[in-house]
Amino acid sequence: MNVRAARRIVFGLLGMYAVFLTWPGVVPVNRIRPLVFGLPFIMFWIVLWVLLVGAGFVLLNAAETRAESRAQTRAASGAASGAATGAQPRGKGGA
Amino acid sequence: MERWQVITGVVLAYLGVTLAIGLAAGRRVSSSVAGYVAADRQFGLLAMYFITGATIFSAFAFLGGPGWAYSRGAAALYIMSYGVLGIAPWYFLGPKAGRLGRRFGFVTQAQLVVGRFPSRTLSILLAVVSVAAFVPYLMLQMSGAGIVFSAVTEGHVPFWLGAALAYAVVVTYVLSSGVSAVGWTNVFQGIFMLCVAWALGLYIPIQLYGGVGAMFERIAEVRPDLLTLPGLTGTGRPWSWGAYSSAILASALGFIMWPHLFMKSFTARDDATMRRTVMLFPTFQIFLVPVFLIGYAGVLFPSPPAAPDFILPHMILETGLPVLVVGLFCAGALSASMSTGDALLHAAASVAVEDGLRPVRRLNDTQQRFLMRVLVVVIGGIAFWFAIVQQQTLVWLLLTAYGLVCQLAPPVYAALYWQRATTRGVLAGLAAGIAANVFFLVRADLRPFEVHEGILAVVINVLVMTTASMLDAPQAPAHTRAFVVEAAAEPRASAVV
Repeated sequence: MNVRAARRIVFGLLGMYAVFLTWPGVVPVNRIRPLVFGLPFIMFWIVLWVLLVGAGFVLLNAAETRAESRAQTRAASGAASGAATGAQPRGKGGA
Repeated sequence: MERWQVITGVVLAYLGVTLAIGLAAGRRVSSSVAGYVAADRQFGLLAMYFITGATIFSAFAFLGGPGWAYSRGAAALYIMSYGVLGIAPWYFLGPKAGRLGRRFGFVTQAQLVVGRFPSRTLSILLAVVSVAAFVPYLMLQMSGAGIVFSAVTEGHVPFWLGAALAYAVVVTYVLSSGVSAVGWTNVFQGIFMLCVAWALGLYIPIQLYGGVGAMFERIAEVRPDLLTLPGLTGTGRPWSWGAYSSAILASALGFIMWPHLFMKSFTARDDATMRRTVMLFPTFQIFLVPVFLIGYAGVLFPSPPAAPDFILPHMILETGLPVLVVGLFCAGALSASMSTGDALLHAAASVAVEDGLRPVRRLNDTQQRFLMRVLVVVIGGIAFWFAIVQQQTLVWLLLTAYGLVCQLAPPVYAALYWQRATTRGVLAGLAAGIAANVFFLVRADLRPFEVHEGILAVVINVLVMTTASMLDAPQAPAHTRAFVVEAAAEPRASAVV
């Protein structure tokens, strides 16, 4: 996944988080039963969203880390090929 | 040996370990302002994770959290809701601020804002707002330590002595090692408080009710009003949705704007460390689940505590736990208090010198560090005096603090994201925001739908800042680009090397 898509997911999750955890979005889930893992449903709901946003950030960080290392290898190989092309004219000049 | 002596022994052992870690931490950094305030920008993920989590979860989480769940029911869930929303922007702001810090040498939040909007007045105003918000918050941490100490030793260690013991340790390690002591003690304290909270949060419901589910079944029969939103107010009446929802949004907005937290952007080793700190924060946030379980366990507890905030120590003492466990609980609660108090104390002294004094007086590196150390003692002393003698005086400051800190959001965001913002615009907005915050606090009856005063004041702050900036001459493009555009990515050159 690229950085832009991951970023869109995170922003989407945060937006939904704000909507579903405050009035009026939270009203339909504002209930005690069913208990999940022993917790009242609304408490479980909030924990669930905390973890979902965390998962979103895991995705985004993975995408950014990948993009960074790719940029680094590109920069490194760019520098290497730059050195090679830099050597060429001198070689020609000598011939 | 009597019970309270064993408990005191356990707690003293904990304090000893904390002190040793704090003093040892100082040997890792240079003796310079950047070392004292920003740990030479060398904190890795372990230190950053715990410094963030342990700083955020204060004595309030350990005592106030159960107290809220106990007396106000589901209203407490707002505390769990705002954290993630509040820290999310830091994923983007933190690395950007850190990059600018490395480039221009910033170690505080105000230096970043004033770097973009050069103004002596702005710097001093930010310093005053920060310190004004820190002192009452620090006072709360100290009295939290005092409460726990005196409760579990049944008054053998008085309130003032408990607070003094815990904070003598804090002052000593902050004096000697600055932020690296804050960081490494927070690793220890963070692990400690997490373990204690989870252990007690699961143990107490199981012990008293036979399980978490069984406990909630019982509460659902007797007090269903405590289990659904928006819960109750402090006086036991239903809370309003407007107040509940806007408390989440206001807290989320102000969250990372607390300068003692924001300035940790400058301590991270690199971008990736900063990003992962935010990414992992939800795992720390879940720590509130056991904290609330403890509070809920108190709902059907036969004897009520002296005040809601005492519910945890009250139950600990009444359930006849082994004495070692009581001692560990006490140490856990002290960790929560001290791991926030140390960051506040350190930040207050650093901000007062870097942003309050330095703009008006030329100081060299040695003088700055000396003054910071003096202020650590002075500010600690002031907060202690208030905690012991005059707690009531600071209650109004505490109420204003969160709204005030929200007013720092527009300047920080404008500095990093809006090229057209100007110094005069930001100053005007900030002044208007602070005034509006105080106004809506005094005239709470004028707030529409009981919306939090911090939110209302931020709206006014942004409107004034925008209008005044647009009327003002724009800043030089080369200057604004450095903050808004160039800071958005790490320079390529460093990637090659």
